[in-house]
Amino acid sequence: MPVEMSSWAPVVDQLRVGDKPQSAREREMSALFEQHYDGLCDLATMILGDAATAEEIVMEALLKTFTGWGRIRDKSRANFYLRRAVINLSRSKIRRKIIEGRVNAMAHRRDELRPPPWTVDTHETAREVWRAVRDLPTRQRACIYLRYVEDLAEGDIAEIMDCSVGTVRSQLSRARAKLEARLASDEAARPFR
Amino acid sequence: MNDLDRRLSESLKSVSEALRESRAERALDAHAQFRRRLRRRRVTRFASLATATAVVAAAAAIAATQGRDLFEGTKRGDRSVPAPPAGTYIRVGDEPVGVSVEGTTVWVASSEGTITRVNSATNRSSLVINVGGEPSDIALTDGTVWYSDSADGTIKRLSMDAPENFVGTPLSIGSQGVHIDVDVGTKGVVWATSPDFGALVAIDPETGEQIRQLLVSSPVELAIAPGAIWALTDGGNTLIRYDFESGETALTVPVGEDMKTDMAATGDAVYIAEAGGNILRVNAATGEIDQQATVGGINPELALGKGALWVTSDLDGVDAELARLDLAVLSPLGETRTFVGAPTDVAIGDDSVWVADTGRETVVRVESSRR
Repeated sequence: MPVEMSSWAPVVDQLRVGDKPQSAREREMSALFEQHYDGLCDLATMILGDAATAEEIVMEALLKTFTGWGRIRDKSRANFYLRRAVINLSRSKIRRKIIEGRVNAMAHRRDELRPPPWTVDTHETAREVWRAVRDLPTRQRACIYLRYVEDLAEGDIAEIMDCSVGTVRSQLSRARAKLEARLASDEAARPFR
Repeated sequence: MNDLDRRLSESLKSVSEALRESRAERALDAHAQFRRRLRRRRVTRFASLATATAVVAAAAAIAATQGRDLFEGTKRGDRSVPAPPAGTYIRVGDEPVGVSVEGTTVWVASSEGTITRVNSATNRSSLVINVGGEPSDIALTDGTVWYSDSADGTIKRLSMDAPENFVGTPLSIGSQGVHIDVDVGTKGVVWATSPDFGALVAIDPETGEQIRQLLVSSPVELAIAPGAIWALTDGGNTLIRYDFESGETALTVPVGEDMKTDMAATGDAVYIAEAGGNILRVNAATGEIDQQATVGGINPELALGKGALWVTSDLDGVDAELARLDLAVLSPLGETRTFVGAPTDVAIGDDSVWVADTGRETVVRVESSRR
């Protein structure tokens, strides 16, 4: 029975990189990659506004987590640890860019970096929401992503952000108030409604 | 779920979907690359372990002959047991990026627009001032808090006695949207970098007015030492020493193109931190890079105090490291501590090390005598 080329690709890849057996930790990390890579990249993109830099940050976070595996107190929550690493590394990246003078701190909050790959199907409302979220402080952006894209409970967000549930509530509340005002003014400014 | 919640959820999920579609092919490559890099790290780790074992054995042999423990308490490399909490976490304004200590009071600048005063006797924030803008660094002179505001490119000051109000008029130094480094020199003169304008600016501590400027190319960091001001210029690629007595640039040292994150200076040497975790020691007299060391994390920040160079660095965005290095040879002194945090600045004062931490929005206090 003929086999389609696409189905060979993972086997070839496995032979190329998997010529020696993986350690248990490598297998765990590989599984974490498969499960969470996309979500982590989205989270970093929301904070950084730049998909390419976001992918670099996620790779860095995954590799550093592998190196520091012994530091993770509860391995079953490694995905939470990874999210926290991605949030903090993304914020650190922004700060370093500002120190280098490569990006204007205020401009960074606006949508002046590479925007997401809008398609014709991406509704204008979604673009407006994205731009509005990008105007929030970085912690609020992270809270909004975890709440509205990952549908996480406030307790889980608090664990990821390493803060109290009360802090998450206030961050979300402040973010929502800003977004509500911003989206209302965007709507009022639209020429055709 | 109300209308706003629904709108946020649906919109952001649709953006997320678009992002994932555009990433699909690259994600496969990324996974293969990730597995290759895991394998390389495993090999490197085994090699490092073998090297470390050899070094420790050699050190033990030397120690036995000299009667002292060269690696006393050093924990670097041992990641199997989580380190105990390194110190006390004190909540400050969001995004703390600068910390400075005078006596028993610690001042923290946060880029979300606050200055926090911490009382070291109680380990609590005693005042959070909403100054607005985007503070990027902080320095203290007698009775005055100075901070740079990257939002409008100014240096502003607050009185320690009545910090709720600004003192005088903010001094514009012509660099907006970039980090402005601030430090205090002899006679309380405040120095600041102005990367866009291309200058080091000296400010009279009494009047808050500019009294001098040194034109240099894209300064990013500065440090004051007896008789001299050091600056990383050309975006961090060149170290210069400006000599107060001769009134001239006395030394120019190329220090490589790696991104620099911090600098500190004594009369004998200048210490430069690179983003990848390297620390360089430059001889102040000759300009020669005479020592190098690598710390465990990235984006190291430096502070001088208690006869040592203190280095805090970010291990993985969640955990951080605090090391104490010998000033002459940059070897580790005592225990290198791991703690939860994402460090952005470090200062020494009141018998403690103070680390600004954006992970928990705190300043972390580690008693220097415990180390």
